[in-house]
Amino acid sequence: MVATALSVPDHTEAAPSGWSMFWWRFRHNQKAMIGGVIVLLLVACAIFAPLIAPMDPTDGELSASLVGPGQEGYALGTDKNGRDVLSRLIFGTRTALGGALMAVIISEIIGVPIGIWAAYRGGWVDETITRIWDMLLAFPPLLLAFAVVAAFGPGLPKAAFALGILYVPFIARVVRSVTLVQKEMAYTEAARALGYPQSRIIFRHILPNCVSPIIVVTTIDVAYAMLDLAALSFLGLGVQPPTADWGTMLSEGQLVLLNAPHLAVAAGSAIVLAVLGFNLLGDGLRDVLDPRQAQR
Amino acid sequence: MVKLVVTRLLTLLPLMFLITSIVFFMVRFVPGDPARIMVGGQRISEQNLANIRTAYRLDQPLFTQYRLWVTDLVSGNLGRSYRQRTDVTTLILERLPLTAKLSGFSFLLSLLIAVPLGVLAAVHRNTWIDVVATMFAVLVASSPVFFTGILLLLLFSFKLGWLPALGAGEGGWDEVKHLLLPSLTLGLSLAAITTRITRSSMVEALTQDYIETARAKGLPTRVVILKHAFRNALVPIITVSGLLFGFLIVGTVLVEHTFGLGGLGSLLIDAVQVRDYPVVQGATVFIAAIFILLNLVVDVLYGVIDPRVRYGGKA
Repeated sequence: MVATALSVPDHTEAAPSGWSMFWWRFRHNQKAMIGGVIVLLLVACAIFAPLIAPMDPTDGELSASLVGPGQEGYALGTDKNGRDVLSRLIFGTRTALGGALMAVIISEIIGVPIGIWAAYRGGWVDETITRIWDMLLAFPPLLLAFAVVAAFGPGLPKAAFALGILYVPFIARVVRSVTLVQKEMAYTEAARALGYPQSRIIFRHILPNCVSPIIVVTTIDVAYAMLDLAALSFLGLGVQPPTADWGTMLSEGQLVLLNAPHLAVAAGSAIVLAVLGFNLLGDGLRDVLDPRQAQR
Repeated sequence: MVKLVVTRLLTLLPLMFLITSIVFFMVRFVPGDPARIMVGGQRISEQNLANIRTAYRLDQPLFTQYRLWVTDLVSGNLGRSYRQRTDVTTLILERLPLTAKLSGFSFLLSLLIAVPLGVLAAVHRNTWIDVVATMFAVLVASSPVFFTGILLLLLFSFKLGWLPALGAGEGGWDEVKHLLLPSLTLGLSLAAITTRITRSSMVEALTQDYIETARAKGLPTRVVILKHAFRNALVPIITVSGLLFGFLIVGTVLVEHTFGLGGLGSLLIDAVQVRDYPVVQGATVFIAAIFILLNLVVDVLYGVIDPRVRYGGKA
């Protein structure tokens, strides 16, 4: 016993901290880096939109309707109302990111406690909850979102809220499985044996271990939410004009596809780039944060 | 086998119950008068409102409404469209054939794309073929299906002029030509998922011992790959078919809207846009029923392919 205790190497000097270890792995992961750069650019666009955008996104010059890219000083051309496409794309990051984040955050506010509760209570509570979300997981969220919009009317906040509720199982499932593992860990046992209150065990031991999987799921869910919200806006059920939004721009662009394909192509490419960025970042983060799973 | 069907039905029926309940109660939970919501904010006299309340049984207690609605549902009566003054069931049956053709065609195309691509990527793992297949899957999966459709439209209809851009065509060859682009659009998006799954399950199958054995027996590579590896790689593809059906259902809605096809999806979206709630309710329930039925068929098929499932073991 003494020998093993002595042979434990001293980590205080050489071992890198958790953060620098994470950063080292992140930097050496191609997917994470490419995705990270795209996401960072999008976030910058959303925050500094008024500073970056060359023109007003909602106020157009009617005489400059459907100008082609690169003409008359419009880098990406104009739409039917003579609004600058580039400026609208830049402002569109706000509805795209904002809406998707809102949906995902709502799903987490509800889903994380449900996941922990299901795992902690076990028994019939766990059984019932997992049954319900297994069923909901099989069913496409967008289809139920249509029914929500039909009942409550169109608009971004409503659409994001509906999707947020429908995404609850995605996050709850992950949190539940992590909690189930952590619940049986020796240090959780120890905390319980020491008579610590349940809330302390949950906040000090369970939740911190949920952070990595939550980050991964969040990133990938944002990509899903962006696709679903773009679809709702494309169908005229999400963001309402004249607000700049990629989905609405795409549906406006489809109407003038023959004369001005640049509008639809620009809006669609923005969606692809953003979704790709979050997908790559999510995949990369999974490799970085959970190397064991990545090796499979 | 009968036992398998029954047990699967017992797990799938609650989903049907859950969805019908959500769809039914949603409009009743909206603040305000459900009758006014059903007519979508149109100007309407008090007398007409009262008529609507009676017609949709909104004057009765909530659970009586629900009970009657479910009773009608079971007998195939999905109610009446407020805007179109027709039975919802009639509307759905009119639109169904087009959507069925579109889905079937898309599914076929997706398999034609994904299976060879996935198998090739797995057999030539870590070569340029693998890289191209993976990049295809990632890119297409990140593109909304309607944008993929618009790009194909730009290329094949506007630039090359090979295929018609909109509408469903009139019977026979014309219809096939009209449905080709929408099906290819949806097929590509589906293939983005199935290619990845085919690839990874193929990679896994190829590392198994029985593959070594088959090779050691001196069987030709083609036989080893197709007969031994591929057959076993099929199972995971079938496992995710529920996901694929969900994707297909939403996909048809979006693709029909993009290409101006008057199928079930357009019926639903048009109804959502004018807030024709009986149609939204009916179409959603109908689609859910189809979805569940397809899943049931696949579950049974799964039992046929994999005996472990049939005999009650866990696969």
